[in-house]
Amino acid sequence: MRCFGLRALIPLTLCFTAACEPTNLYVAHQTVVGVNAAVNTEQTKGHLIVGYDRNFVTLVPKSVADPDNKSTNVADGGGKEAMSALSCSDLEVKGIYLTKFVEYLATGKAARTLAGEGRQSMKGTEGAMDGSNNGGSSDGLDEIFDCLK
Amino acid sequence: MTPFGGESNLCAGRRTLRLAFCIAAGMAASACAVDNTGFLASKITDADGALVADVYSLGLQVRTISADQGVTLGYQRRSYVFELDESSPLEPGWYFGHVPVPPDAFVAMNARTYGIEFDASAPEVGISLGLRDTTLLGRIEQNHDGVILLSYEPENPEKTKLSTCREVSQCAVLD
Repeated sequence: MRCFGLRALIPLTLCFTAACEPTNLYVAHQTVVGVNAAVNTEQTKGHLIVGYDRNFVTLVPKSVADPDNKSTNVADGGGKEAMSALSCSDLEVKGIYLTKFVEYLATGKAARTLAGEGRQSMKGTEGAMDGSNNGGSSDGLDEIFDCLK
Repeated sequence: MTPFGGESNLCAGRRTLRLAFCIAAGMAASACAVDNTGFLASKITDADGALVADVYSLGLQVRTISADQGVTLGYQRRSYVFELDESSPLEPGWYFGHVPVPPDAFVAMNARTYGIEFDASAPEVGISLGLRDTTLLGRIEQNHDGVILLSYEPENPEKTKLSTCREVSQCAVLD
């Protein structure tokens, strides 16, 4: 009976830790005081911490369909690519705890548009940094660029 | 037994009720919770564009939702930030034994655990012993198209500000 319990536990654990490509974008923080052992979902990296550790991680999916090329054939230039994302995180830490975070995150088409506007402003064209070329209210745009500065 | 089985249904209903009561009493006695039900307390706070659910639990908690799967033994506070749903009749305040919001649609999450925690959800699968403070600032589907602006203080949930929109220019300012 004990053997059966152990046998059942092993595949269950493997199911939990099954290798897979992340399909979500993750922005995460972790502080550990004690012991921590972990492995990423792709089972390519792991760590064992004894004591104190703090880390921040951003995981970007790499299996997004290319929006400019509908073909799934890699030879035709189709296939998969990394997710478009433009992000800025502003974090406040007190002692070992994270006390405040401000997150600005644009994904997909919004991120590509924003990146394009950022490039334009870098070239010294109409001031996208101050949001004046956005064709209207640009409060969110201002905030993101303020955070990126 | 009545011709229509009424008595039998009544008995079955009583039995179900008794079973539910026994399970609830057992959970409370053994300090155990499964997902958003069991030996836990939660505080729902209304914020600017967001709803924050602080869930406090002591003992064993099993979480089965895919975004936050795992098992904890010890004390923990898990805070979930949700996008405010104007149509939701949920009242801010304290709730005991049951968290009225299903925690699978959160935008951000902060978890502070003292004890043993087995975490089985992405981005990492692992086990920890001691103090663990985890914050998930973003958990966005790979096909998501839009902008999320979030300001969040785990100790002051009422100061949370959340703005989501399709285009940056449509988003409200955080401050």
